[in-house]
Amino acid sequence: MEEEAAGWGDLSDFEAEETPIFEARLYGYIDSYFEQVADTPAGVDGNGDTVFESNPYEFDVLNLHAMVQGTIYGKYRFFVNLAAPGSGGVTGDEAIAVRNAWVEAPLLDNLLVVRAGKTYRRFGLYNEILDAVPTFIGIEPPELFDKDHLMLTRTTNLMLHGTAAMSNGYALRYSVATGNDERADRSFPVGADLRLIGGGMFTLGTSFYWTGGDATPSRDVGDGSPRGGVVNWMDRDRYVVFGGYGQLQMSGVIVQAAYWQANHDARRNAESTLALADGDLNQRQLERFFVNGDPMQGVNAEASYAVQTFYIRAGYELAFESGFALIPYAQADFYKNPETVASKDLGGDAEAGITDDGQFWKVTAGAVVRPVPQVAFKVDGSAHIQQFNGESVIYPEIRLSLSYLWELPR
Amino acid sequence: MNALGRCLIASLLFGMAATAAPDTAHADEVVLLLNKRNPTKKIPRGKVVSMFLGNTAFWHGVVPVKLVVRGAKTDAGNAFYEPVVQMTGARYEAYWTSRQLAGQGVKPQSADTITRVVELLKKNPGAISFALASEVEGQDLAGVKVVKLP
Repeated sequence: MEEEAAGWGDLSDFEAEETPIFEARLYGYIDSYFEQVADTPAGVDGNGDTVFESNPYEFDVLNLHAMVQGTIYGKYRFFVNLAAPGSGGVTGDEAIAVRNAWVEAPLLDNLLVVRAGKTYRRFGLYNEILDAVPTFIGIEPPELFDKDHLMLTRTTNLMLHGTAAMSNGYALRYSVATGNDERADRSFPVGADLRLIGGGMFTLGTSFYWTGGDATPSRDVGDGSPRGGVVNWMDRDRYVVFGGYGQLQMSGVIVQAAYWQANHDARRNAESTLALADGDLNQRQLERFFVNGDPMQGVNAEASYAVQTFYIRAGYELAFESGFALIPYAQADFYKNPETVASKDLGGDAEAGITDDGQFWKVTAGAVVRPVPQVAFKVDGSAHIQQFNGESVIYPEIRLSLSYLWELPR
Repeated sequence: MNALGRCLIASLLFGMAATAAPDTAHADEVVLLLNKRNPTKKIPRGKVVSMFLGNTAFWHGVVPVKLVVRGAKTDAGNAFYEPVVQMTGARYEAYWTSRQLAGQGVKPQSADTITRVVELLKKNPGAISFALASEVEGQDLAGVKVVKLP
């Protein structure tokens, strides 16, 4: 430390140099997408046989982003991230959404920084980089942040964070955040993340979230999948999410793994829960939600349950002199949620919600092709493996994504 | 010989060539380049890594660090990214693209030639870059200073 300090010399003249007042970069990307899901289990016929329904193929512009990032006097950072997800439809126009809009000020060098506005919370490997589709392996996000069954809200409002750089090039990065989230009344939600970054080689971390009291649903039954961890038919919910994650990058190999669990202590709303009976509930779900499995006899109000997920992702980058890169990858995801239902409209996920036991595996294999660093063509195929109607059912799906990064020249 | 056999031999030869290339680059020392106004006399290697990964944002908490990087395929890039930052040049570029899209900083400015590096360093008091020692020999380095990479 002494040796390092001795190397800094006299800073007075250095400080006097002028820094531009405003500096900003404008950039973004377009992600064109195609998906075809094979026939999926949808019900049981009079003979007790599984009935499958076909799914139409789908073209879309899954992600369309325009971002501005900059500084004021080189110190006060700001970031605006505008998105129009799902804007590939030809019969209507999608609204532009504000994904992020925040300002940031250093309180103590990089050691303590305060950020306020609308920001992705620091949570696991993916939450902050899900809008960096062209750069990561895979097309779909890990189940933790699948928009049909989010385990917590992706954004929050106030974050204190920092990075402590170590002498060996490693860094400890930490953050604590709070915000509107799904809080009710005077609840004080808290999220935290701590990670050790080993230069360019590895990342090892843990994240935590607590509702800090009662939380309420972000959407009503009938309005679609929830935007946070509280499902649509709850009166209130108190939950914690915790887990750990790791990433290793070495000689072209990248391996990622994470485990997450959410423990819920919730109370169902009778009227909203009864509305679920209009959907396709299986026997397990009927018994879970209603007294003796019969909606006419009333609703089981108390709901204590755990949601679990883990994944492992691995890829190998073959880089060529011309700049062309090929990255074959494989992924395995597990997700278990006993509370969700099949219907996305009602607030379910059409994945765990259609299974007998509320859980599924998803295995994926694919490749990223980058002819130049700014263009990524991804193709992958997945198979869902789950129990339905007392038997193991596998249904595949295929996806293609072609994303272009763009930015205005400096 | 079938296609698979030819492919295997080509891969082996390519691998041997790839492992031989960095030795040539290592023979030429990598040096750090700073703006002349920067009073820093020496920088620990860990601090260099930290700066180039965006984990150290200010010079002694005062002046913002401005990275000026070299192309992944240049000799200087070959001698710097994998040996020092422990990432391939391509991965380093992807790393910063990901950070930029996540709002975690703006991608470093890239300079193709040593002349351009010097030009950018002169303009920015907090700028830092790297080069091969042989590249800076005979260059007009007014406004720029060379610091040894430990």
